[in-house]
Amino acid sequence: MKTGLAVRQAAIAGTGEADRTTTPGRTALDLAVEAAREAIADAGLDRDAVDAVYTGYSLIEPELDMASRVAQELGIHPTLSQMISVGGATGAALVQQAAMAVGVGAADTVLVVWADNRSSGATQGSYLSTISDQLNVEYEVPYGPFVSTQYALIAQRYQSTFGATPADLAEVSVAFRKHAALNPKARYRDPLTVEDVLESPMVTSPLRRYDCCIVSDFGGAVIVTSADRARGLVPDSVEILGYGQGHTHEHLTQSKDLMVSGAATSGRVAFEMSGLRPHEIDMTQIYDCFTITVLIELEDLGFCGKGEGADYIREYVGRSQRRPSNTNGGMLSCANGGILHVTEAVRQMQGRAGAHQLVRRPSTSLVHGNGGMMSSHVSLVLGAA
Amino acid sequence: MNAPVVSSGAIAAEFWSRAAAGELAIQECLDCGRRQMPPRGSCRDCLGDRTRLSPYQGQPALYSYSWVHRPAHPDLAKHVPYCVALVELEPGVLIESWLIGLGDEEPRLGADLTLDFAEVSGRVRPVFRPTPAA
Repeated sequence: MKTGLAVRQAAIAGTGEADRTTTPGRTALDLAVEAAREAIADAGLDRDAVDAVYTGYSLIEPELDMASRVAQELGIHPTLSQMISVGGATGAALVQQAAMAVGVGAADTVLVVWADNRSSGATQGSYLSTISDQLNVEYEVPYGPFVSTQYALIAQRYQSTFGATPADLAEVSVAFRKHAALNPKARYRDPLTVEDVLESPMVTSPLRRYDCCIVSDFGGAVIVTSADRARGLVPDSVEILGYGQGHTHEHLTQSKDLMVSGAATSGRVAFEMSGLRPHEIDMTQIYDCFTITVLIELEDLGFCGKGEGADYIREYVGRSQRRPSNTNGGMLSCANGGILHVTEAVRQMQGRAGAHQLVRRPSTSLVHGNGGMMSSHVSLVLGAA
Repeated sequence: MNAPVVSSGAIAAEFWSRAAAGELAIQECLDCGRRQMPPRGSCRDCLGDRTRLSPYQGQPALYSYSWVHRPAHPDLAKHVPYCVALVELEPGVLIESWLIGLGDEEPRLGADLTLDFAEVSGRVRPVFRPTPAA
């Protein structure tokens, strides 16, 4: 690493995912506890080994300090604890923060967990209203944009700038749905064509229903510890080789360039730290709140040139599967929650993804989170130990 | 729930009072001369806090737009579908607003717009119309 600190290499030793499908109606806390319990067991640990708890936030059941609440419910007494919010990028950001804590020796075993009951605990209308708090309440919200509208404004500009079409955006949903078809836990599993996307109801032009992600319950957790210790705990730990962030604005009108996101910075920093380059990455798990998000992120991360996102998706992700992405179906077809991009990446690299396990097990991956209005970006480079 | 009518402070109050009188006020930094929207307590370029609001007299252009097909608030239901727009007031200065008075043709990015005012969500706010071809 180029940090100049004498840092320990961090690794992920276990993952947990709350069951979203068979028991609806649970609280955010229930989902967090289930995911955490599973991650601790998956790492072969006793809960007393956890000395740090890092959690995301709940939009539906806000807690001033979710981390202390989760620790309390798990009956553990950490010596390091925090709840953080980087919007949708929170999952990747939590892993970065945990890797940093392990790196400097401030913690040995970090429980990372993020859960929310976004469908059980809210109507779609109340959820959409809640997340609109990220817009400017005085100058934007009165004109009635949804969060999806802000991304639609980016998409419209993207189409005009690069000559892209709604069909190009649709390719993202189509590619991820192919993976979802194999995943029993995915919300949508029926085959999806570009025509299906283009015929789905218009939400906020040019974004249609299948350009927008699912709003669902989710819960995901990972155990981050030192790479040395992780190798002693499990045979298939996954090392956190690099991480980076890039933040450019909060409100859309304050972006200096809507066509280039903070992913350009977060990706460059994470790749530099890892010593790897985009062409050496076997698989990506890319934040996919909307189809347009994925195209811009892939371009800014360096997997293809500007304006080439749809061609890249068609070739690398769809047709040849040379670099598969969002292998559980992503937020577009499987479930909400940026933490699941992390757990899915780790499980694929361990060869333990289940029915939708890739035939060629990836040994490197790039996980990317995005928060706000394409505002906050966090990249992780992971490598099999 | 309808959108709250918010005034975040003295500068914003002046902005809205001028809007009610049919003026779009743009904020100018008295130290570095740069302009920004929306108005706020300090200049985001030089961080100085000596600013003034002056009448916008530039040529607005369409930066992006989106037709919204269901209302974000109940009081917008009568307007559905409405066209949310990003409008470039001058290079590097965007505001979010509405594009109104559109015909059958899809708007073209970069097209000149004409400033107007309308009551939106309980307050007179700036909106924009396509500028008819000369």
